[in-house]
Amino acid sequence: MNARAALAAPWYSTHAAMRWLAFGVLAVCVIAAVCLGIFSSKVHWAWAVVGLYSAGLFYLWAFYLSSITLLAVDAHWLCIPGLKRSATFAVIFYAVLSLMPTVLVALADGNDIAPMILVSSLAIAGGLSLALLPRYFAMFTGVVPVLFSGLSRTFHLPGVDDPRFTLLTGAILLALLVLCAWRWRTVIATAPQNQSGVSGALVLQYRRSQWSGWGGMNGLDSTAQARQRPDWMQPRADLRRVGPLYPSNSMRVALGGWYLPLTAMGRVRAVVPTLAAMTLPFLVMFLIFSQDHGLSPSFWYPFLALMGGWICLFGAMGMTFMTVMLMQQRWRKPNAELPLLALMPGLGDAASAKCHLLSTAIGRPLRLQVMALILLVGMMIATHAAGTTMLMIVVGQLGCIAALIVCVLGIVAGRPLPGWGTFALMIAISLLLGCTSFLPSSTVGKHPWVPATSFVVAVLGGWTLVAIAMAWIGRRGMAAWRKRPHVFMPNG
Amino acid sequence: MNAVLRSISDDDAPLAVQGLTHGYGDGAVLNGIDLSLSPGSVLGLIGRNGAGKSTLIRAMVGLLKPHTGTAWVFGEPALALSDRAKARIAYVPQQPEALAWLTSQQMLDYVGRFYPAWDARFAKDMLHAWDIQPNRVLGKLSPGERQRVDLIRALASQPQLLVLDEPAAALDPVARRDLLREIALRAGEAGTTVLFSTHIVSDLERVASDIAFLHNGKLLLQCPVDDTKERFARLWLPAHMSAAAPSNTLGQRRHADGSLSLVVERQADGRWPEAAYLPGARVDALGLEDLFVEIAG
Amino acid sequence: MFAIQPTSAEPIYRQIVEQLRRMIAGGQLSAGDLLPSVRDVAGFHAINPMTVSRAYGMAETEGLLERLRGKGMAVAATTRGNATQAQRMTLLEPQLQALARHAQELELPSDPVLRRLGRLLED
Repeated sequence: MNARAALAAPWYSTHAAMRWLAFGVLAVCVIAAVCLGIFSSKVHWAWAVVGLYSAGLFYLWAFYLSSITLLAVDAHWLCIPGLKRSATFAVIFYAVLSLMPTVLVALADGNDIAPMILVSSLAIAGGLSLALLPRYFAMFTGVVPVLFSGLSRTFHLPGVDDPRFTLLTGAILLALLVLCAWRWRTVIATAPQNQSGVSGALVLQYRRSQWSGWGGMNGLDSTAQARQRPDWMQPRADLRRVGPLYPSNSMRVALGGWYLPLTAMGRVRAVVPTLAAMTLPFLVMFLIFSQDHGLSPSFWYPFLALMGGWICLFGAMGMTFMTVMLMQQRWRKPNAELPLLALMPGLGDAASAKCHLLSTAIGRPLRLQVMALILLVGMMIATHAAGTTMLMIVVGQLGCIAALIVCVLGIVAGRPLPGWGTFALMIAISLLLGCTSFLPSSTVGKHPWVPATSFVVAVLGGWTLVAIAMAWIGRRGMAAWRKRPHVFMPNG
Repeated sequence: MNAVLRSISDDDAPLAVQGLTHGYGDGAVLNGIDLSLSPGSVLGLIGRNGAGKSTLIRAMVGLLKPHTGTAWVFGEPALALSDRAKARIAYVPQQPEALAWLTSQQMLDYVGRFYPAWDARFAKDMLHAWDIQPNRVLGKLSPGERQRVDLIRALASQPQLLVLDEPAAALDPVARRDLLREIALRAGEAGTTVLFSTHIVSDLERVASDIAFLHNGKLLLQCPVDDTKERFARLWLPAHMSAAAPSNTLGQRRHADGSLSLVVERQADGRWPEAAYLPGARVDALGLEDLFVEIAG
Repeated sequence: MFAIQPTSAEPIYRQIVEQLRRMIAGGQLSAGDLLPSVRDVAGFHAINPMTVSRAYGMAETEGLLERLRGKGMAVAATTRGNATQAQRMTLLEPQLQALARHAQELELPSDPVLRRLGRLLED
């Protein structure tokens, strides 16, 4: 009776955006696999198909089918009879269904039937365990491929042709299945409110509204953020220099997030997790790089140029996105900081409060962005980079700065971009910056690389279009800014 | 034109609005609201969920720009208040969520520096009395605790005008009674003017001196609470007499048997409308809650 | 000291006056007894102090209470501990009227009702 409900559960328990993303990824993988199967004449075609399909399966299980767990959780806590069993049944059913294509391909190929099925099962179990494990494990999934390739080189793990491969994957699969079963029970039996932090299962996050639609771009609101952080990670605010005498510092307290003035100890506590989070990609890059170059001066120089360039380039972009998201969130709630600020004496009259706010909100990220720009330009000059390279880098940085200013102005003036508009702008900027991301390291070699003219023209053309859009956003923001009686009014 | 409006609004009224209309997208929420609070009065604003109580309150204190109409706070236009007026007013939104990253102690310390009449001792005592851990980050408090902290914030600034949007919604009965007591005594002794919205009618009956009922974008029954109970009643007419029903009544409901219930108001001479004295007709006194249900139901 | 029902159809100030009247008529309050201050009553019941002052003011004009300088309100000396029978009878008037209306609605003749009432009173 409940079987149908259980089978439909993943459909209903995920947000549309996540659902379609999961299907999209699977579809891309399948299409790529089919193309590969048709057009490649190699002996290993079946392996390529199964490999790609398994990658798709991993994503599908991690982010879509794992949501059957949510049904089981509800069934447990609402004491709905029989539903929990149906959920278990649905997991097994979908697992068998997901394996079918692999089985067909393996049978058609006829050689490595067992290893192929094992690889797909591994993808399913891996995806499911990722969703069921505490969230901090998700941070490490990015390193798994690198780790695996590193390990296989060091320990000579068996390849797919090796008969020991079956044994090894079988053992891993068994371990993952045990892990899944154990986590499945724990996740269901622990009250959801006790699993909300980073130690809660990833799958429990899928029901949050942040995943749905464009609202997802604003991330968690400040209350949810405070709630998820353990006590030692809460920011330590420095309230020594606030009050009517320090309007800008007081605004920073009210804006919160990374504007919040911190005590010395608070600053250390805030920096350490960020550094820890940054070490990971740094390490991955280090591993990839050191495999190609070995540890010599010719390794360190380009490596540091690449990392420094990336941090400046993408740091400036991240600064814009982060600030826009924070401001959007603050100016959306009618029951949070805005009414407090609007009716608080000591911030000056409406006009001066307006200016203080805008300069505080834009000033801090702007200072860091200008610093990044100066660093990058310094690097370019030191390496005698080509003029066009310099031009593209500078335009990119100025683009981020302009986006910051017009978006923040629009938000506080009451004419924010709609969710999809912000999203489109962000995508455009990150694509254009992505196009120039190889430039810093390209300047380091003996012969500075000069980008092709057509490429330069395309990128600069892209920036021109973005600049036109930003000019329009800025104009309507400015007009609304002048008309707004005071700045502390929520949008919408 | 401006000068005329200015002269109509009473300079001494802590809070006044005139001709207020506002709406979101499809329809009007407020439809020509006129309201003025006299100093020391406690106005309870009732209305159904979604009737626009919060919108009206936010427009009254200048947190949104109404489509038409003007709001004044202590005689100043609500959208451009001076620091002097701001220091005299305190507003607590529905489900306050401000400054989730500060502890309750820090929040009160931060806000307190801006208010000249801040009563730090009161804030400290109330935190203790209402069982709030002063060193816990606000974001980690329950909605009820956060509301209490924000109420303490509002009361500690010793405002002359206290505006509370659904203050009792997330409070337990004990804290609610404490809050009502605080409101009542401040109004009675310090002359604080209070505007609060609620749908818990018994709260309103306890402390409010006046009542305004927001229904379909208009204010009905704008009068002292005691008067409401004496001036309005339910008139029940059996089916064969329903033709005798007076025309201008507030609420009218026909029952399955054809009989009719109406909310009637006493005439200027203190008598009920004629139909009430017909044989078979019945007049029942109404509590506010019943009155509210009769009109809005 | 008062029992207040905010949800009742009777305004709070009337409830207070009514209860004062009863307590004085019934002898629970005698002449010269001090009443709790407006603040105490308002604070205890979490009601608006203006409502309490209004009730006390009304009772004062009725002659039930008198204002003692510096001490607050007290039961008026002119009110005798035991009110006259006529006074006490008026307090029963609303209930009697309600009873009469119910009896009429049930179309009961007056004799059996009065007989039953008489028996109840004798118990």
